[in-house]
Amino acid sequence: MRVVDSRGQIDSNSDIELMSRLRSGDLQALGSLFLRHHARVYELCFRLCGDSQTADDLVQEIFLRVLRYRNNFAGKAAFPTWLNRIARNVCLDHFAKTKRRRSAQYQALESLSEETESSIDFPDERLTFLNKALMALPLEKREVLILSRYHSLSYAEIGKVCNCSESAVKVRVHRALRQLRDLYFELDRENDEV
Amino acid sequence: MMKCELASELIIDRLTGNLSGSEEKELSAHLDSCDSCREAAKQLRTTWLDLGRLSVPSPRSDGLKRLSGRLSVGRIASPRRVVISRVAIAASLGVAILIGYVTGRTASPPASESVAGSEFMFLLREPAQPLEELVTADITEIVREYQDWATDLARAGQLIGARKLADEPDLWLVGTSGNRSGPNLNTWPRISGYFVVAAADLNAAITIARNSPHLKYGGAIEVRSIDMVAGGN
Repeated sequence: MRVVDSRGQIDSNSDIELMSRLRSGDLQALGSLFLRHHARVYELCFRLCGDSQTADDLVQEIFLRVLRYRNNFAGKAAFPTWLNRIARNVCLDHFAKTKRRRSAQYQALESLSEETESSIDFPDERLTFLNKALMALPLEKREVLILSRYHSLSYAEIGKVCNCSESAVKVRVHRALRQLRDLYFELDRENDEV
Repeated sequence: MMKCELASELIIDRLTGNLSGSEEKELSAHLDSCDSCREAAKQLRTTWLDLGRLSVPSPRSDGLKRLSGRLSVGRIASPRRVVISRVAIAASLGVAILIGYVTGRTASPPASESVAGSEFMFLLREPAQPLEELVTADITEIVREYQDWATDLARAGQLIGARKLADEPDLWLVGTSGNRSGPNLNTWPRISGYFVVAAADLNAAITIARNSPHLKYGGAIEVRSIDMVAGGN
């Protein structure tokens, strides 16, 4: 599967052109799409599942599904939106299979309890706590917050990915960020008291 | 005058880039005059900015290579050829992994004692007429089905052996002098591998074969009784 031309340059075709080639049976187009989008997809998977090895495996599955469902891409939605939707479905399937969603949240909550009992003075430890707090959010809140914060998607775009209304996304983002803020600054108050 | 409740929402909409120009003006005016909302805005902004500092490790550098390995490599001419290729690969992988399983080259649960009875050979033939709907089949799911089927056989002590045949074109030796002939496209559907299983009788063997995913994916299985009298172990 080659993804560069004879001059060593990345394929400059648009996503839609690459999908068209893929539908014609050209697997090189899948390689180009992978190189172009896999880092972003990986980031989404990692932030959702919290594990790099799992995220790598999920990325593989996501691009296999791009191949599998290539004829379903009509170009009505932007390719990144369509890809995000596949990524989300793959992650949900993963959570359903492993029940990791529940256990990860419990583990994160347990870790949170441990952290709040200790003295946290350094910025990195604060970030560690924030990350655990993010992972402890229910998936429906975490996914919209991640898509908003790290992928800069509008509420409407997130709604297309998560198959829900713009207003529902807005409510979830608001609640998620407030919940994180409350945890984050609760930690500050506890540190002040120590 | 904007209420604090609305201001609380607009503060977040501002961070997420979902605030209009007029809303921005109204919010700014409110924050200038409301200490509690100003403090809330500060906390939310800090949380938002610190979220941006949460780094992510790099993905594996061999991701594309891994993906290629899970597909038939190279350019393919048409979906019809994809069907043949993918099913053939699935069958091959399933059998190859199974061989490791049976011979102990990979970790495996202990198999129970072999069942008494006759032995049968299943010759797995590739699909003669590719099914168009298989174009969308996920190769990983297909392989898993083969593995599950073979694993169940091994656990039941019914699996005696299996081999995958190489993917090279058929080569026939014909005539009294053994002249080379082939590849011979008329030999389609080709045999891609075989299983040897233990079963009480032919009907039991047929039942086992019918449960194989090979039939589901358009392949054919030739079931042959092994002549136990003529020799062997």
